[in-house]
Amino acid sequence: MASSSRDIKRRIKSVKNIAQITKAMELVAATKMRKAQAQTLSSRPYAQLSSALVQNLAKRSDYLKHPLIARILPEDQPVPVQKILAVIITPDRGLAGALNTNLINKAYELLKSEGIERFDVITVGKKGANAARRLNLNIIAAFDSRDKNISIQDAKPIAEIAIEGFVGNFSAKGGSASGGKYEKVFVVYTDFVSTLTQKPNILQILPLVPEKETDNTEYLFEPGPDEVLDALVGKVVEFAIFQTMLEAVASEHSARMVAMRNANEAAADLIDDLSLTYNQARQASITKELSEISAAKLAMEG
Amino acid sequence: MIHFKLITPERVVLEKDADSITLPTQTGEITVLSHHLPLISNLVAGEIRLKTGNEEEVFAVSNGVIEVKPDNQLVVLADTAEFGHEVDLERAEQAREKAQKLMQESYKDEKVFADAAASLEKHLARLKVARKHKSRKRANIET
Repeated sequence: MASSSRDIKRRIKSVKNIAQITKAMELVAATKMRKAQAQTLSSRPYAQLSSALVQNLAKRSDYLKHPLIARILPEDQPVPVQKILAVIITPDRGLAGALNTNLINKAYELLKSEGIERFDVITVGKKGANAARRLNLNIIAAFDSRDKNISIQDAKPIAEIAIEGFVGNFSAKGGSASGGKYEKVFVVYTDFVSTLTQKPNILQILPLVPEKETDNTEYLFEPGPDEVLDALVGKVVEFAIFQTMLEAVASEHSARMVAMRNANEAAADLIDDLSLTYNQARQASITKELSEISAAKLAMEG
Repeated sequence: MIHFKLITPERVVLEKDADSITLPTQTGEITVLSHHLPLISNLVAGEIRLKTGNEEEVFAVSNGVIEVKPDNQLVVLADTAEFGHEVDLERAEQAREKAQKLMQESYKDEKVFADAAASLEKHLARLKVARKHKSRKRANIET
């Protein structure tokens, strides 16, 4: 009996230690989460307005010539898709609940539906790089994930690779878009919905897809629609990648915080359970000793 | 009155109503008053002046796009934007010098040169705005 109560005591102690660690991680994740969420939410207006503007421009300017939009438009005669680039944005670390698993599954779904051998991938974050290696994908670049202070500079290299791979040589402005290696570029990331919900998502960033809705305001363009579009389009691609990185980081920290809170609660439950068992065991041993003593006493008197 | 919105990738810098807004665009400086024609233009590095009544606000921006919407709204999407009081004069001066140096060294590489020239433009605009802000502040103390 004595040994089992000592075992229980030891377990309680180790569970308490774990609870301390998860508590600390929860607090750290909560702080990072608040920052990341604020950053994500404050950059959303730019995302909405700039994409609305590109949509608007695409309808008016000579977009057929623009190398970043050109290829989707001849809808009746789709271009055969040969090579696809996928940018997979994951955290560096685990312990974030089902976030990573869901994300990798989503990415795998995409890879499978489009034909896995056609993909080249860029990974951001170690988890994605590991998964890509496991799946034997062709990794053309692997970046580390930044978990705070993300700036648009972090998205630049990825955007450059994507644009260059897509159009071949970007300086061939207005020329034909046949030089590109990739027919499509996707980003797989976790969309931040709220602290409790994060959704793995696939975003097609290239070619840009103009929407069909028509808004017939007459605009004046200075110097001209093509020039404005040229200045804007590269930026929009860059910004789209930046935004997905922000979303991914906000999701990561939110998921981790929730996972750690759950771990904390589970630890508390476990400690309660174990304390109860411990007290029962202790009481049982006392009762047993007492009954042994009184039994011995009875035997001696008799 | 025009509803003015200045947005950068990091944040919504400013959102308010103004009487007139002066912006640097690719084709020159323009001033937008209410009932302006819908317009889309490229923004270049420089200063935006915002007039409301007798008050004037100045801030530095770098490249971007402006959109005047039909219902008296003006949206500016800029890469960076700073108020005069936000600019650290010393550091802006250093950044300007660095850009200038880079420009002189990199005349062979077209892309680096263009980047350096753009950043020089940007820091010049920041310095201008910061100095303006400083001198105005001093004038206020004297009066």
